[in-house]
Amino acid sequence: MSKRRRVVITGMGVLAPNGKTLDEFWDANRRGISGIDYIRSFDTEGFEVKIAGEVKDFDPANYVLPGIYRKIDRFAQLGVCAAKMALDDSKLKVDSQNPEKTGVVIGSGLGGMLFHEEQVITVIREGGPSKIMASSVPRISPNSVSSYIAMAFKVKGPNFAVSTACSSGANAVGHALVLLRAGMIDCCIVGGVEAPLTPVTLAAYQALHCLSKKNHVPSKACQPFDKARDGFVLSEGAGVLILETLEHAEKRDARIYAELMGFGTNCGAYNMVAPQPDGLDAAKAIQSALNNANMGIDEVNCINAHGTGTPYNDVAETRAIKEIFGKRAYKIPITSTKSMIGHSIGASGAIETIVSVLTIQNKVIPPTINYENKDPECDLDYVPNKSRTATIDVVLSNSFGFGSNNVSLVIARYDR
Amino acid sequence: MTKIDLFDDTRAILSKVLKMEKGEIALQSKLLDDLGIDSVDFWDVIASIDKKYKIRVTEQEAMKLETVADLVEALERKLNARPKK
Repeated sequence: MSKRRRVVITGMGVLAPNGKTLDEFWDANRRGISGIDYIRSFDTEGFEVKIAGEVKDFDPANYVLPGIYRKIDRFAQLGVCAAKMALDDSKLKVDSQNPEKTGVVIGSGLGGMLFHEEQVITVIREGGPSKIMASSVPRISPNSVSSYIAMAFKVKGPNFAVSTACSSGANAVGHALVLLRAGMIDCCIVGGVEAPLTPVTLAAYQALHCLSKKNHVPSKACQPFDKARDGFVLSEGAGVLILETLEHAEKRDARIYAELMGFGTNCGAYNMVAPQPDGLDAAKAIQSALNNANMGIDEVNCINAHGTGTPYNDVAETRAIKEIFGKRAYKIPITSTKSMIGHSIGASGAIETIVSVLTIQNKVIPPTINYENKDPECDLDYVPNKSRTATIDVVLSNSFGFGSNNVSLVIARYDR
Repeated sequence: MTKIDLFDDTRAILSKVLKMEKGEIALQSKLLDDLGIDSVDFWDVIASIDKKYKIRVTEQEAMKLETVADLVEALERKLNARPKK
């Protein structure tokens, strides 16, 4: 039996509400600094929810050429620019001899919502379908981000967008792992992006009653696992990683951040928006990821939770963790990145993979901020409010998307 | 309509379609190399011209244009060729 290819992480780029470089982002997370604030990009008159996580002062001209960024919606701009940062970070030169051996897999739950809304308004206001811009389809399509990454960096391998709502980014990372292990590619630009902060999209999430309405102090609104939690905070962002086979990384003497060990995914076939209350479907995804990593529960020493701050997710996820880890669940620190940056839907799983890598690298577990009231149904260690120094070797990262779509990833310290 | 007016209108259309500042668009700007216009952008430019002037620029005609000046001249010819009321 041939040995399974090992896959490592050699570069990262992130655009988040609390940081636009890897260092800035990690520093904010480590210090528990929130990126949630009042929405500035449009007028929230008439909305119950007035807060979100915006990527502040983002100018794609700082990263890529106008010939690229002018042709794409904001969500794809975030993705292409994060990809540029990740490629620079990895120092990977896409092989001019064999560009087909580098792939692009990007998760996005919604695609080009901003452009879509602008066009709908234009068609309605100016009277009829002939008024729509010809470039609408390219700008709205979820795969415009992966295609423009390919065009910007001349990458010609397998190229697709993954759309599984809140777990899109994590699913993208997982599917890239599959492609790399299968030998179809040697490198992959992988991640998740989302730019959902548009009036109609905010209204749509608001109508689901899943958003926090704690507008009075925006940075304190998202309270994962807290008894007073009332929903998630919608945000935008992009997280992109460079994955390579170990062989390819060693051949070019790449700096290796961590190793991607395992991927588990399933669909609970339960409900389009509510998680299965007993958490058993999510538990199976966790177990599947551990099996895929050839690891046992004793090896995981940190969990980066999906941790949205909704009443339902946090208790279901807690049950899922207990189902798999048993009594050990009480000894594993669990952190929620979303407490600081909100829920960036398709981007979140990829951004949280980056946080998991940085946790291992820096030996610091970022906190779950805004934790004030203990919930007897969520009684695990959520690293409340202050980061914790710890040597972490293995992080389990969970992402549970609308549509009962469950993904877990296992990321480990890289040892030669 | 003067040529300057026509250039101003053309520049406004290009600015809107390409999401560029007007100051970045000059008469001698090359449509492909400087402004990055592709076939999809051309459809939007043609549609905007049609809406404003009721002039049809065909895709074949558009493919022959190299600069903004070429586009302005083509529009001027078509406007002058229209029967006067």
